[in-house]
Amino acid sequence: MKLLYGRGWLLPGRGWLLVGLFLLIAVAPFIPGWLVFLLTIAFAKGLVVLGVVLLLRGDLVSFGHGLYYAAGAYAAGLALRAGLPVRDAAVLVLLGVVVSTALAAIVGLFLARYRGIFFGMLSVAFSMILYSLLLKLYWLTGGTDGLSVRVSSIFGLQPGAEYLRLAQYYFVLALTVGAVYVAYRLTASPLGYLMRAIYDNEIRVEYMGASVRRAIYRTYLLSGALGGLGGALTAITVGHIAPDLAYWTVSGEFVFVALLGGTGSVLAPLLGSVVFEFVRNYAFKLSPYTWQLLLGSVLLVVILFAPGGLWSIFERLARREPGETAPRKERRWALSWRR
Amino acid sequence: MEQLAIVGLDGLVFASYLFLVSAGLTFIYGVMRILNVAHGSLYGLGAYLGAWLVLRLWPGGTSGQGPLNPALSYVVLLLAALLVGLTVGPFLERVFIRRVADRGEVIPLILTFALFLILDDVMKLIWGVNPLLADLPYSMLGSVSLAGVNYPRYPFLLTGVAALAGGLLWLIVNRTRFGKLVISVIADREVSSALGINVPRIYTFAFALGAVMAALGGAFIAPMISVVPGISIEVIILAFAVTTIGGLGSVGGAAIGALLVGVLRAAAVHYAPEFDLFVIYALMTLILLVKPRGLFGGVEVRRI
Amino acid sequence: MQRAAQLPRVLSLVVGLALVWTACAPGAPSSGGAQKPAEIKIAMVDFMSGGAAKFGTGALNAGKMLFDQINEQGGIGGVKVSYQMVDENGTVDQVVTNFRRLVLDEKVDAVIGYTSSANCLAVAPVAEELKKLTVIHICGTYRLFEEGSYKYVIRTSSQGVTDSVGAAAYVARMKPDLKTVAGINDDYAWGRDSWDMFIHALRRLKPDVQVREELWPKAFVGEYSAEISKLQAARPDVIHTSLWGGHMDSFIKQAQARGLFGESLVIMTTGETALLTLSRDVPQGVAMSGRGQYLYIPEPEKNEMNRRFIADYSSQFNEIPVYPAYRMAQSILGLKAAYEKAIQAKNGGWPTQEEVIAAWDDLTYETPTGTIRTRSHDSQQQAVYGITSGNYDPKWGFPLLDRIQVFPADKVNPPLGTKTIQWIDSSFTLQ
Repeated sequence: MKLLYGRGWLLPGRGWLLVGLFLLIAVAPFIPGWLVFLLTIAFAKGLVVLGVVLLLRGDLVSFGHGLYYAAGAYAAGLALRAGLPVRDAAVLVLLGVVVSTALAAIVGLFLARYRGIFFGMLSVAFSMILYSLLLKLYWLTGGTDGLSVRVSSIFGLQPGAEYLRLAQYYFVLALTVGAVYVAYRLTASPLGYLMRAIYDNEIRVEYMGASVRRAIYRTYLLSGALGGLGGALTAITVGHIAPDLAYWTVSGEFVFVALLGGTGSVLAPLLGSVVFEFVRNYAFKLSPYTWQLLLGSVLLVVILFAPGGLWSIFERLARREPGETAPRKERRWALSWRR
Repeated sequence: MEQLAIVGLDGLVFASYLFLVSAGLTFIYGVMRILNVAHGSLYGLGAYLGAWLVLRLWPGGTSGQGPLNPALSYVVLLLAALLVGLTVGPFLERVFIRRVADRGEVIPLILTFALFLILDDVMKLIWGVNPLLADLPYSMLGSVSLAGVNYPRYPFLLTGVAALAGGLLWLIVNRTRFGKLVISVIADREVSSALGINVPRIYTFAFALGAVMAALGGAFIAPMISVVPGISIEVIILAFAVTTIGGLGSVGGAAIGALLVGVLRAAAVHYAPEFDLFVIYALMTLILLVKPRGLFGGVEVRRI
Repeated sequence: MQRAAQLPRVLSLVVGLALVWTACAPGAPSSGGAQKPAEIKIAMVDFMSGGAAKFGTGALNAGKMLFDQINEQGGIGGVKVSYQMVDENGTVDQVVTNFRRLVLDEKVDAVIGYTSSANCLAVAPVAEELKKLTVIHICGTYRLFEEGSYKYVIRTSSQGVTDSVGAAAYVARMKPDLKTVAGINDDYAWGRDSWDMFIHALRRLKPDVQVREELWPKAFVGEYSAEISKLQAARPDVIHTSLWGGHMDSFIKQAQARGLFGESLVIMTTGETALLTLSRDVPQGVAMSGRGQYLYIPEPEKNEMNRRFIADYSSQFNEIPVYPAYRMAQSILGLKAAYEKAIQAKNGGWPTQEEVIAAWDDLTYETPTGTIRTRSHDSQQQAVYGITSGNYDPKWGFPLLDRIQVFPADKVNPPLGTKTIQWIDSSFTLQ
């Protein structure tokens, strides 16, 4: 399988992709409900991580993506609390995406002018502002009590209590596939290539005549939309939201998963998210006070020895073809962190 | 008028706490250009060790019963801070942080975040998850009547410690030979190295200094709070806010930033309590938007 | 396609299937059908870490002790109980996710627990969705059954109205000439509800009372210097607080150092645990309650079951049981009684979950604190308040309470089916 340099990011052979998707669809009714739940959450959060990865490709680390995650979730929660007549998942998710995109449109105006650590700090600052409001305005948001998010229908269909969880899974899966496709089209488009160029040297891009700020702003919009989508989906799946969704540790977790999965593909965040949720779940079961140690160590290992994340390892194995003479460094496709 | 005095005093107390946790962070950034998330863990370790030692040496609690003179509890706290700062700090720097020091600013940040996660669990494994309430040093000092209200004396000791620590840091940087080397490294690392300065050793020393400041903050705050696993998480984000406001790399800026944030928050607590957290981050955002390098940060030189 | 390139695909497929296979590994069958199950799986959820750890550990210790005793005597209906203890610490959505894990992954038969009112309110709808019997052992929020009706959720503890209304009644009696009041409560469901009910009840008794300060520190924060400054500046006659557990202890220490307890009458609706954690260091002149009748209030030795409970608990854990321990006992003994009643109704057959719940609908059973009657998923108890004195009692290990007053259950609880706040505003009276 040859590396498809000229066609944007790498996707594995289409056949395997379809097989994977088919498995995810077919196997769901037969596996335990808890597994379905974990997968649903992993996909929902994976979408937020995808948003982070899109920015990572432009050398921008968003430490405040919890802003959109919480905005999407609370848009849904507050709408229900305010008396939204429809308890429909599709409506709530749409609301979440609209609100978070609008927020990204405003915040992005400021953030697009920053780079490096200042981008990170400013994004954290915005997310902490939302956190402080969600936490303290008890009469509006319920403070640390949070809000309950109960849906009874999806796109107007009422699956009934028995099948609600399964229906939610398919709903999330469908939206994930859609979102991943949209992200893929973005990365394979001129905008995606511009981001890749900005990663290398943005001054040269300016000299080329392209607007760096506009490229970043547009990518940021999609990134924010994905964050809100993930947040609304999580809200619906878990059924309850709390202000901590906007806290810096949650945002940090998204960055963690982004690095774990790698930035080499639009599928990498999902892979990273699934691995993360599963490992966390079982590590927590095994020993509740050492799972952070485990995750921190994994992150250390990834940073020090496999900066391209799991995906790069996957690719490295896939591309080992006999007779290949290119030096190993070239084949570390995943974006090198060195300037 | 009384109200204003109370706000001022509350603000001063909070500012002392903020300064202790932020000064080290901003100093390390100034020297190494690394924003150290594990700074919160160093704070936590200082708090845990300090509280634990006090509780072990004076098991009688507030009555002060124990083999040693209760007045030594302050020395114990200081020793705890020094121990943590001078062992854990250099260890983290030499074994982990040094490996990524040349990979920009973001990767070291994420590495320190990984270290933070690990150390959080390490603290849980060593000291368990129950709160440690070592209030002997706090209760020993009693209270004093100020502005019509009974204030405990201990937080003013904290102010003293903060001022002393800040002063010492300034002395070290500006009046010692080591300090001159540090200033040189801050200005230009490569040239300093070319001049024969052992830059990695300066890095380790600077990191250790910053770590001691963090641990000092933790150890001396411990008598005022119940030490639980979550304190590292809360403190680091506040430290980020203060250093951003004051200017990354400027210890004086950290002091001014701490005062600003402290007084602002105290005012909010008194007049608009729903916004006491909001004002801190709003100020941080404002400074980042208007003067990204902070109030006392330098000017960014764009390297092409 | 080169064979080497197939490797990662095969690997991922194998790993994926392995994951699915391990996750599908069958757990112990739950006792849903008519067959007697191999065991009854119970999960107990309370705070095992953080500021409330001491509080939660008390409850979980009692749970462990009681289940061990029950198993020694043959279990419930002849079936042994296997129990696990789960930490309630974490944000509310984490708690909800954990609950789902207990039901879907661990496949427990029932969940007993939840101290934080916010967690109860969040878990109840999920318990209903997943159709799992959930016994709330401590949460006091009155909103639990007023904002939704949950068939699968049962509360064996008293709800907060008992404490808040009792507090209002107590201060009205102890300080009949009170004019001003202030409150410092956790900014979450429990704190908000407690204050609401207290001030409504107090206004019924003293319509002219003025509220000087309403303080809402972040829940469980543990650092109250700014709040104490405000309270001291306001100088109210009475200060109400529903802070509890570890952060309440911190508050007491900080306030005591500044002399707050000498300036105002402070009433702590959940103060009883401080007597054990702070022991001799408890300040004098503080009004407190243990949310109902427990331990030494009033006359512990008259109740044989209580005597045994205290003896067993102290010998196993080297300390006196606190009121969370009693709450857990109420829940566990209730569970046992409900199962036994359902088994009897089925002539020895094993009951389904719904049958156990039906049995609980009007259940009366004995506990170390006396007879408990659960009706319509909630239970009502009396309120007991006293003031701390300096009389340290070496037998118990803490200073005793003085000037104890008992308020009967029907005076401090709304009648079945009435909304709490409405009842307070219209019918609550001291007569």
